[in-house]
Amino acid sequence: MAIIQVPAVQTGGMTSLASGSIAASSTGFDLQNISSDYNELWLYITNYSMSETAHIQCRINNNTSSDYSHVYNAWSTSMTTAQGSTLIPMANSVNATQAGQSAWIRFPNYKNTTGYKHYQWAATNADNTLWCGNGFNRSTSAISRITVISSAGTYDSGTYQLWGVK
Amino acid sequence: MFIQEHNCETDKITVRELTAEEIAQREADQAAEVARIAAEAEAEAAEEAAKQQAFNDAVAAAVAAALAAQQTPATTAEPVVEETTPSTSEPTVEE
Repeated sequence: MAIIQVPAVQTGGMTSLASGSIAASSTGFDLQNISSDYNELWLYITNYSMSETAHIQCRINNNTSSDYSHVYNAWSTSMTTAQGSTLIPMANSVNATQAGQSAWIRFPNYKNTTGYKHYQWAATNADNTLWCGNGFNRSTSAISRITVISSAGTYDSGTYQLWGVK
Repeated sequence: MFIQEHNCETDKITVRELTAEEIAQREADQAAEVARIAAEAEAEAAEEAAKQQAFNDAVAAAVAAALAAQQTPATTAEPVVEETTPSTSEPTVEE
C-alpha cells in the first residue's frame, strides 16, 4: 500500500529577539549578534522622539559603504531613487515634539550568504505623513547586526523590538 | 554622544561613547543627508518644471488646432453656381 506523505504545515510565528527602550540622549541603538535561525527579521520602533527635527536612519552589519540602493517616497511626492547610498533613510523628518512616531523595517531572507539583502520599511514622517520604501544592500553576508541612528541630535525616548520570523 | 548596544545573544544592553571613527562617520552621514535632500528638492523641482512644460505644450497644441480649424473652410466641395435661364416670354405688363 502506498503511503501518501502530507507535508507538515508550517506554523510560522514570531519570536522576540530583543526589545528595550531607546536610551535618552543616545544617537541610536545597535542590535548585535542577531540569530540566524529565522527566515525574516522585523524591527519595530515605537513612539520615539528626538531632541530636534531629524531623520531616522538604519544600517546593516555596520556597512558604511555605498552599497544601499532603494526607491522610496514621502506622501504625495513621486518615487525617489537612490543608488549607492551609505544607509537606509527610514524617515525624512521626524517632528521632535510630536508623540507617537513609529517605524518598522523588514529583512526577508536575511541569513542567506549568497545573495544581496533586501529590506522594506515604512515610517511616520513629520506632519502625519508616511515615508516608505524598498531596497537592497549589495552584500552577501548574513545580517547579524542592525543599527538605527539619528541624522542629527539624539533620541529622547522610544522603544524597539526585534522579531525573528520562522 | 553615545550609542546603546544590545547584544541579542546575551540580552545585555550597554551604553558607550561614540568612537572618533563613528563621530567622523556621523559627520559624513550628515553631509550626505544634506546632499540627498538637496538632490531630492532638485529632482522635485525638475519634475514640476517638466509637468508645467507638458501643460504649456498641450495648451499650445490645443490653441494651434483651434486656429487651424477656424482657417479651414467648412467644406471642400466646389461652390455650386446656379445658372438661371433667361425667360423668353415677353414680360407681361398689366395695365
